[in-house]
This record gives sequence, C-alpha cells and structure tokens, in this order.
Amino acid sequence: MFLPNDASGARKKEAERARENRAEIVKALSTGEVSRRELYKWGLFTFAGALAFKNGLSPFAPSAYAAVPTGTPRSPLFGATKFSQPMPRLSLQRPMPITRAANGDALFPAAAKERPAKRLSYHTDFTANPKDKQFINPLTGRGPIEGRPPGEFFAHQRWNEFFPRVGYVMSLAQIAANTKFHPLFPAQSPQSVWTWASGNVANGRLPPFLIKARYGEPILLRAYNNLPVNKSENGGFGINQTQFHLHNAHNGAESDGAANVHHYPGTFYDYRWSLALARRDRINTAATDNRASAPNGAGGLTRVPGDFREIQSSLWAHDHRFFYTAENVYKGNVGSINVYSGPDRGNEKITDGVNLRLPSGSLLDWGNLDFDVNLMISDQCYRADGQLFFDIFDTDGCLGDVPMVNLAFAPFFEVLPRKYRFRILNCCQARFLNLVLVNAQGAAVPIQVIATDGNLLPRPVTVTGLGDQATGERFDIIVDFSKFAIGQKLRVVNLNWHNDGREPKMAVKISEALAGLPLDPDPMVGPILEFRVVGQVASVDVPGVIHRSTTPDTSIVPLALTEQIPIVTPVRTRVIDLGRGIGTSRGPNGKCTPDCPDAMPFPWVISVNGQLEHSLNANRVAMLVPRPGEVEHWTVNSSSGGWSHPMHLHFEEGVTFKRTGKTPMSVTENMARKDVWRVGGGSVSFQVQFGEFAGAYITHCHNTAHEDFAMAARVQLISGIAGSPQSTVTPTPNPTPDGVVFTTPEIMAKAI
Amino acid sequence: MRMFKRAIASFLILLGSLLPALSDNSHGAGYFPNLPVIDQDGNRYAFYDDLIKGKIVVVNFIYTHCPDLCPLTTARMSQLQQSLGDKLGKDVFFYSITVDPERDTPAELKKFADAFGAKTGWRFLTGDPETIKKINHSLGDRSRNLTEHRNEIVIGNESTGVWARNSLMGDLASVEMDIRGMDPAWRAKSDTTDNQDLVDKAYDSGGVPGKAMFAKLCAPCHAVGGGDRVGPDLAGVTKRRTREWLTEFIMNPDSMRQRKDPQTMALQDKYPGVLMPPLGLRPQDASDIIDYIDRFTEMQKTSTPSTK
Repeated sequence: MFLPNDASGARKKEAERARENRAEIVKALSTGEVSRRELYKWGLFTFAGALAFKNGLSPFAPSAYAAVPTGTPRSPLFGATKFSQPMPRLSLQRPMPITRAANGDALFPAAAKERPAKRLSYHTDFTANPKDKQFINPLTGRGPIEGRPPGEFFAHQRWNEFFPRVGYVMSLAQIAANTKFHPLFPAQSPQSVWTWASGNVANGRLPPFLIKARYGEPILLRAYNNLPVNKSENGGFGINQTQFHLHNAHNGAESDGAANVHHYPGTFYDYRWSLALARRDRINTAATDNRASAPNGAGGLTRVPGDFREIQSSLWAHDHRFFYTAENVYKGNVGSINVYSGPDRGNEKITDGVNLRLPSGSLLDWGNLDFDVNLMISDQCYRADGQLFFDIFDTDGCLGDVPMVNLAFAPFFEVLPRKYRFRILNCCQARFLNLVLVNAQGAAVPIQVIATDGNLLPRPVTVTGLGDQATGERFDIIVDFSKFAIGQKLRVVNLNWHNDGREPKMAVKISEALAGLPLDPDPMVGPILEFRVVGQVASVDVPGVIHRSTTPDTSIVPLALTEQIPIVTPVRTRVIDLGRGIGTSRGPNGKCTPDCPDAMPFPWVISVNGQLEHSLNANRVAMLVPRPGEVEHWTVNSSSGGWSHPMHLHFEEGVTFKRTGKTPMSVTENMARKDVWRVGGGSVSFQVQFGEFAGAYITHCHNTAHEDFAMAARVQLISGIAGSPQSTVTPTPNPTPDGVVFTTPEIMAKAI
Repeated sequence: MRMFKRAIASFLILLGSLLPALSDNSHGAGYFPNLPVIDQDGNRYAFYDDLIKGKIVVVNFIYTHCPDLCPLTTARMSQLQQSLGDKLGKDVFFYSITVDPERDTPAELKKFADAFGAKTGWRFLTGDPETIKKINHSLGDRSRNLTEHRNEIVIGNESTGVWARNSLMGDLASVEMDIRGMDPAWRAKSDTTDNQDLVDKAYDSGGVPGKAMFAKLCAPCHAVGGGDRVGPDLAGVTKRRTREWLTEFIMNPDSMRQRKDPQTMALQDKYPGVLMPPLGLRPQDASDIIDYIDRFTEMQKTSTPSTK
C-alpha cells in the first residue's frame, strides 16, 4: 500500500502522475469510456469494486496513496537531503515609534506614509461617508478601507490606557519570486505560498516573521491584506481573506482575530495588542512588584500592574479565518511573537534579582536571540512539480511528509558548546509531534523544559523527550551543549507515527525512528533538525560580532522560575462533555433496547456547578462568563475513541490540575499553565479566570479540520462595566466586500 | 508487474487522447466523479455534468434513519432555503447526499425531502453505493461509519474552483453570506445594509432562557403561529398537551415511540418522513423551551390581533 523510497524510478513516476490519473480513470469509468471489466483485466480494479490501493489509484481509500502524506503521492525532494541547508532564523520585524495626536489618534512616523490608527475603525467613517474615497478600499473601489467592523463593539477597548507605543506595518501577500523551501526545490509559485512581509508591500517573504514584544508597550499592528482579489488564484487551497489571531495574548476581542472578522484584499485591519499583564485590574494594581515588569532598554525595569505569575513568553500568531484556518496557516500565514518581561528578559547577564538570566545573549538590553532560538516545526507535502499541496477535502486533518523547521526543509543549526533556549512550536495542521534530542550514539539527551504554551513553569522539569505535542502547543526548553565536543552532531527526532490526522498511531523507539520504519509509512518519523556543535557563530543580535566557544556562558537556569498559582475553591465549575449523545432508548440501568444507537460526538451537556444543561441552552449557560476575575474550574470530557483533540482556549490560560482516562498527566503538564490541551478518551481539568477585556472569544479544537458543531464554542465575556458595549452580547459581524453587516447572534454555543 | 505497467501505460495513452490535460489543483472536471445519481423524484443525473459543473452548490450529507441529531442539520438547510428565496434553483443549488444508499431509496428520500419542504433547487441524492461513496469521498465525507459522517456542509463554485467547509450550526446569516460570497460578483449592495441598526446596539437576550435554544433547536422545524413546517405549529401547544407529556416528548421522543404512545404515533402519521430527534435535553432545558413557547404564543396573540 505504501510506496517505499527505494521504489524504482518508473514506479515513482507512475505514482506521481497517479493523482491526476485517478480522476481521469474515474471519469472514464463513469462515462463508459472504459469498463470495469477492462480495469479488472489491468489489475486496477478489485473485485470488491474499489480501484486498487497499490500505486495509489484509488480515490476512495482514506488517502490516495499512502497514509502520509494525505491526498498526494510521496513528495518529491529534487535530490535534496536532510541537513543540507542552514536553518533560517525567523525574520525579526523592526518596530516604529508611535506618537499620540491631539485628537487621540496614534501616529506612525511620517516616513511610513501611513494614516493614523484610531480607536474606532475606519469602517465607521466609511459607514458614515460611503462615497468618500479616502475610506474606500482602493484596490477594488468598493467597501471600506479597514476590515475592522464599525462602531463601538469593535473599537479598541481601553484605548487610552493601552495606547500603542510601537507600530508595525505588515502585509500578507503572495510569496516573492524565487522563494524556495530548499535550494534544490523549485521556487514556490505566487499562488502556492502566502506569507507576511514588512511594510505595505506586494510580496510575502520567508522565513516567517518574529516580533519581540514587552509588557507595558502596546503594539499597533496594521495588517494589510495584499492577496489577489480573485479568490480562485489560490493554487487549490487557502482563501484570500484573513483574520490574524495572536494566540494566546491578552487582548480585547476586537483584536483577538477570532470573531468573524476576516478582511478582504486591498484592506487593512488595525490590531492593538495590549501587552497588558493579566489580572492587572485585581492584583498588583499599583505596580509595586518588581517581578511584574518589563525591560526599559537601559538595564532597568519598568513596573506594570498585574500578576507576575501570569507572565507569558512564547506566543505565535496565525490566520483564524473560520473554515480556512488550516489551509491559510499551512500556506504561510503564521509568525511568532516573543514576549519579554523583567524576569524573562532575554538577557543572560543583567543581575538585579528579578532577571532569570535564561540563555539568550547579552549584546542587547533585552530580547537577545543569539542563544534563544524559535523553532516552528511543521509538515508539508508537494505536488509532483514541487508546489505546496493541500487536500481541502481531507476532513481528518491533512498530514505532510516533509519536515520543516522555520519553513525550511530539515535544516541544520550551528551551536556553540553552551546552553541554548529553544522555543518549539508545533504548527503542523493535524500532527502530534513527539520530539527527542538524540546524540551521535542514538541516545536521548536530557533537556530542561522551562515553559509550556509560553508560560514559565514554577521550576524547570528535566525530561528525555517532550511527549505528545499538539498543534499550537509550545515547549520552551534548555539544551546544554557544553557536554559535547566541537564537531559533534545531535538531532531532533520525531517519534510519533501517524496514519491519519486523528491521533498518532504510536510512538516508535528512537532506534526505530533513526533506522526508518519498515515500509516507511510516515516520513515525518525520524530526524528533522540537526545541531552541529561549532567553535564560533555569528551574532544575529549585533551583526558583525562573532561568538566563540571560549567565551564563558553567563546564562543560568534557576531552580525557581516563577511561583505556582494555587488551585482554589472556584466560584463556578463547568464540565463540558464532548461525549456521545445520550441514547434516549437507554433504560435506567444504562442498557439500550434493543441496542444502543450509534450517536455522534457532540458537546451535549455543559454542567455549571453541577446543574446539567444542554450546551445549546445559550441564554442560560453556554459559556457566559458574567464577571471578570471569577475563578472557574473547567473540565473537558471526551469519550470519543480514536480521536485526540487539541482544545484551545482563547485569551486566558488554565492551570492544569487533573486528568482522567487514557492520557496520563505528563510531568510538564501537571500544574502547568496552558492554552492547548489534548483531550480524547478521558478528561482534563484546569483552573481559569477571565479579566481586563471582554467580548466574544472562542474555545475550540486546534485540529482545524474540526471546526464543526462538535468542536467549537463561543465564550462571551461580559466585562460588567455598565454601559460599555462589552457588557452585553456582541452582535455577529459578517464581513462582505461591501463592508461588515451585523446580525443578531443566533446562539452562543458556536463560534460566531 | 510488467503487465501492470503496460496496462497503466496503455490506459494513460488512451485517456490522454480522450481528455484535456488537468490542472493540478482543479476541483472541477475530472475531480468530481461524473457518475449516475438519482434524486428524490426519480430524476437521473450525471453527477458532475448535471449537478456540479458551472454551479454554486451547497452539499450536506444525510441519512434518513439517523437516530440522532443529524436531521437538525437538514432542518437548518431548510431554513437556509427560506432565506435564499428564489436564488435557490437559480443561482444556488442544494444537494443532500445520502451516506446510507442501501436504505435511502428515492422513495425514502422523497418522504424526507417533503418533510423538510424541499423546493426545486434542493435535490436529495442516492445511487449505487459504490458511486455514492466515491462522490462523497470527493466532497470530503470520508467517514468510516454512518454516525461519523460529516455534519459540516461543503459550499463551492465549480466555475471558479473555490470550495469550502462550513457549518449549519453556526449563525445561518453568516453561512448565507459565505454562500453568496461564492459568487465572484458577490451580490447587490442593497442586500448588505439591512442590519446596520445593530451596530452599537445591545443584543437583547430577552430574559427568556429558552429563546436561543428554541432558535437553534426547534425553529428549524417548528413555527409558533406561522403554520406547520417540518413539524406542527407550536402555538398554544401547552394548552393542547400536558406539561408532563411535552417534557417527555422534548427529552425522550424515541422512548415514546418505542412504547407506542398514542399521541406520538398520531404525530408520526401526520408528519411522515421525519422523526422528532432526541436532542439530549435536560429537564431544565425542556422547561425553558416550554416556557418560551408559552410566552411567545401570548406575544403572538397581543401583537397580531387581526391576522387570523
């Protein structure tokens, strides 16, 4: 059923063409140009009636050729081998200073040639003056210039308090000419890859972007959509509309990018990322705690209100256009945001009792990246011509067969023999990674996990492997290369074998992963990144500076990184049951007569404080969070077998305190703050509270093929500030090329 | 093996001479099977040529024996049918394709379609099981058993090659806009400004707990004062039935069918082809819904005194 890599060239070619051929065969069969009899004779048709699985001619098999990749033959690699190109560092964006105009608008520097950013969307002006050209989409001549919905509901909350201090202008656009995932691969076509680039520009760039943010310094991101107007110019997948979600930042819903707020080519959307430290309205409100702080750029600290235990570090941003998220993210609509704070400063030298001095560097006051490295790990697959491919009809979640780090094919990275911090993000579409660091002898090297989903652990946890890591989950780890001699090589190896996008089939042994699985069913099993220990590396923080192995490593990994948020008696408990339907033919003994009907998984019941209610009883329960600051305990039950769902809660993190069922609590998850949880065949419980902002947020499965009614719920946060628009339920915005139309939300138990 | 290769080679030569080259990502001719299907009225079609080619379509996957909540998605399709009005059958076409072709004969589908008030532009499709499996696979229903079938819908425009997933369980207004958005020319601007008055206005959740639930779970099939739809008009139902009966029927319709409750049986005869689905509702939910129907019935009486 699988096509091993040592298959004959002719057979490979046959398979490469088969994806097109199978459609032709089906057509020929259906139009009577060939008969089944002929197909039997040729061995293409089985007596069961399906086209033969082998050679990938069956369009009816779960995937056309092999388990992985889904929907296409094994990807061509054009002679490229793993670890033959250096790993690109993410593309660091430069902030612009923002000044405040007398009328309260936020001014970009004159050189940027950008109109000011405002509390209310320019759509508000467009709605009031629909004929005024300055508010009309200049590309299409119809609709508003800004995609942010009009009026107070989508005004930036607490604009003056979190007035933007730095600005970024970026564009989502077709990839620039001659951009390749490996020097030997063909260039990607403008239709295949859509990524972000600095400025209001016509072309996207690789590698993906990185923004360095710090607490107390709100960001205004002006995000241009410069994709083609014709949405069929998409290479077969992805849509030319976007809404950008900064996963899991503490932002107002209007800037969360997760409501129904996608915008069209030719328009921009102003996101205001607050960089507010959570609980600022309730804890440390006078900003007297040095640990709740941000680097001031001159060796000192600026204190901010909020709870230092809520400090975040490694976030990522990605498209959140409903029903297209997987395709758009896969196409390149993704980036990383590192958040810096007094304790987690990105400077390993400053000694002030607050700075943790985690591996990073010391050439800059904060945000050093020389020894603090983002790793965005994903899987891709290609058509025979090397263009990026995605099967939009694969509802299990698409799997790729080509490992990517920072959107480069299986690169190598040179390191000094010292400590490094790596921020590892799984941005595969459906794949659960399971990474280990392996030395030249094939043994796992111990690593220290310091943060999960961008939240520092109270103390580092030493492991020999990261275990399952779902889409959207992040691990910040420390690797100490000082034990390795210059010239040695270590590899990051993925152990999880997938046959489909539902859940991993199994984790293989390191030796098996290194040797290659029999029949090679999942090429994403095995090494995906190589570290090479070298004597000197060039600085990325200050170009021109060379770091040498002889320079002492000044970083430390403290025994305590932060303090544990204790589990307390909650104001409210919620149990969200994703289990199967309550078969009503069940008798009191739980037995069914004559037998239990098959039922579909559905979030049937949400119980609040033990009161069971239907998840669609929206006005009574749903996910209404009536008051900020109330501590809640959430339990997500999933009895569905055969699936694992990464559930993602927007906006706030939860302290994970309990698991039942087939997924045991891992050492890195126990009592850890997280925003993505793997659920399947059991339950997970976490403590959460909401605050500062309000509006419509969602909680959903991060396997983006699962956005159906079973897997998403709208969380409506009611701020409680009387008279503010967020003290009520938000109307549903419906973006159109002519502007946003609001409708009354039909229910709340589904993402709007 | 050599035979096999030769067979492939000759086959490809044959096809190459018959068919134009396919573009790699085409979701059009050659991607969707052009196999024979039959609708609820016994009309026969070649799936691609007659039903997909050049059209904007909305597809859901159904089976008439669904013991669970899946008829609800079809009921919501029927609401979508209403809101699209005369666009359906002209600019947009609905297809409900069975995932259970062995049992879903055209006659069964006819009963089902009639129950949901399907109009001309809405075809319920069945056919040879193998054919249906191929078609459903091409549209993304790759379920391994009936209850795993896709509850999402697929919307697409074959002429532009743009296809998308969507959900009937979200706000139907949003779904409708996504469907209209399949038309590259979009639509008349006049359609877009209906609800600007909602901007900055609070949404009144009404203080009536059953309201949202009624809208989502009941309104797809039942009106209150608007006449019978898929199921009976519920105006005044609390006067016609006891609260106990209503509560049980809302919560456990299939156990009432099992014990052949006379009133349930009578309903079944009057509204053939569709069963009240078990929706997993709890006593509190049922109570909320009954209260809402009650209150809405009263509101109808006071607001429209002279229409009947």
